[in-house]
Amino acid sequence: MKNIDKALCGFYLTEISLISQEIMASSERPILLKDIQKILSADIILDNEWMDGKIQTVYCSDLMSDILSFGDSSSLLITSLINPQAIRTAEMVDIAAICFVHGKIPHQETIEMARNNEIVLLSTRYSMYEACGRIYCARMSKSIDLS
Amino acid sequence: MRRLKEIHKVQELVFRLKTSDAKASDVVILSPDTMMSEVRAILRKNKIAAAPIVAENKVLGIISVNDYLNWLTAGREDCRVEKCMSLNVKFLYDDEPLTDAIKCFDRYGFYEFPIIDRKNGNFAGIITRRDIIMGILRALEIDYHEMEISRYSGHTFFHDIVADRTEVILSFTVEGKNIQRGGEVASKLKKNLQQLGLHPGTIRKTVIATYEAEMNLIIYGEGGWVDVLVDAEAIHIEVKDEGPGIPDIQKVLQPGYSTAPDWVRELGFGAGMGFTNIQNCSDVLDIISKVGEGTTVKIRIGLDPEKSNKGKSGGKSDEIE
Repeated sequence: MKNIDKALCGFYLTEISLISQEIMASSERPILLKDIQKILSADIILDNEWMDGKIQTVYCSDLMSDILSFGDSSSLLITSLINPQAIRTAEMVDIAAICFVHGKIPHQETIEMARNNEIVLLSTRYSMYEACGRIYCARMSKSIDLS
Repeated sequence: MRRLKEIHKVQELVFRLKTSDAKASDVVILSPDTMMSEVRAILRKNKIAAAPIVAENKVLGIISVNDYLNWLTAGREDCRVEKCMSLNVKFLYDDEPLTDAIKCFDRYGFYEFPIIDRKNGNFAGIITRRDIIMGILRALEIDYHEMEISRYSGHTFFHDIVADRTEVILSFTVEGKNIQRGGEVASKLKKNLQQLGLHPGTIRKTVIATYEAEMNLIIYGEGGWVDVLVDAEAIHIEVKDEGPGIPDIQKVLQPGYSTAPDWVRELGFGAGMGFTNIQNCSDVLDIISKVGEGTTVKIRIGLDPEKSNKGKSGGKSDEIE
């Protein structure tokens, strides 16, 4: 039994790093929420102590039914809607963060709803088009220049 | 403690898994008449350190980087690989447990071993350290997946209760025209279903369908009732109102058909996708409506995510990080 443990340890050391690199490269690169905040020069309305979290996909829509259909968990929703339904919809499909465009800030009650559901809220002065474009470019380029 | 358990799991797997479970079968093999001058390019191109020489399904020998270097330093003329290959090939049978393979790697320090079918002595593939790791990871992943499914199939709740028939009924009232509170029922329902330990994919489908139906009650139906019955097989949702009713049910099922007023559209609803979404999430959807009397929507969603509807909205279950 001891020998097997030893042999297995050897395997892990030599091989596991290579394999994990492969797996990382094959999936879409996740992006840190705080990087998104820098890319969009966004104000943090509600950080829920989650700015170090990772975003798997980014989705943009103002249509609730579409968000319900296509929204993914651990994703960022970019929207111009600041009503409570935006938060409710995000809650339904486990969206982790919402960024409002055109510098919009929702009503305090809406912010409270997000707080209860542990959803991060950001607000950017960019338009929907520009916000999406900036994130897309940043994810596509290998070295993210955040300056 | 958890770490210890995982190590025991790996140990169990190395005894349980056979070399045939981990071996790579799509491998580079050389024929005896391959020339030595070609070997370097082949090994390099495929990023391998050795390749077996196979003829008529039998392993004749193996040629490694070492053999190639020996040939090079000896300064001999170009020849067929069968003249330079190592003949004393260490191999493993396809029914040997992985633990034997691991011992062989430890003992001989080779990069790879050919796998031989014990029944007919034919060449069956190659095993490398990488294949062993991948084989164990695959087996762990399957085990983990099975564990997740069993954990989320309602077993936690429904299997702990001893009765001939177990049902959980959740009833909610929805206030009409109060769009600010829209989604409260679906939100509460989501938390309840999570407590029952249902599969995240099933919960997702249920809350999406309920949310859409709930919004319909608020927008068109002037309020109503949502009753949810969960049993060991499925979730049955019944959404009922005494509103205006639907004149043409076929029409509301068409994607994009909407009679929503502007105030609803401004909130991001009323694009005529509500019933389409409900349909995508449910196994069975039944709409009963009479103009002037009201509408009843019945939705059934199976608890087994493998068997039930894999529509776009609901098919995705939450990914495990």
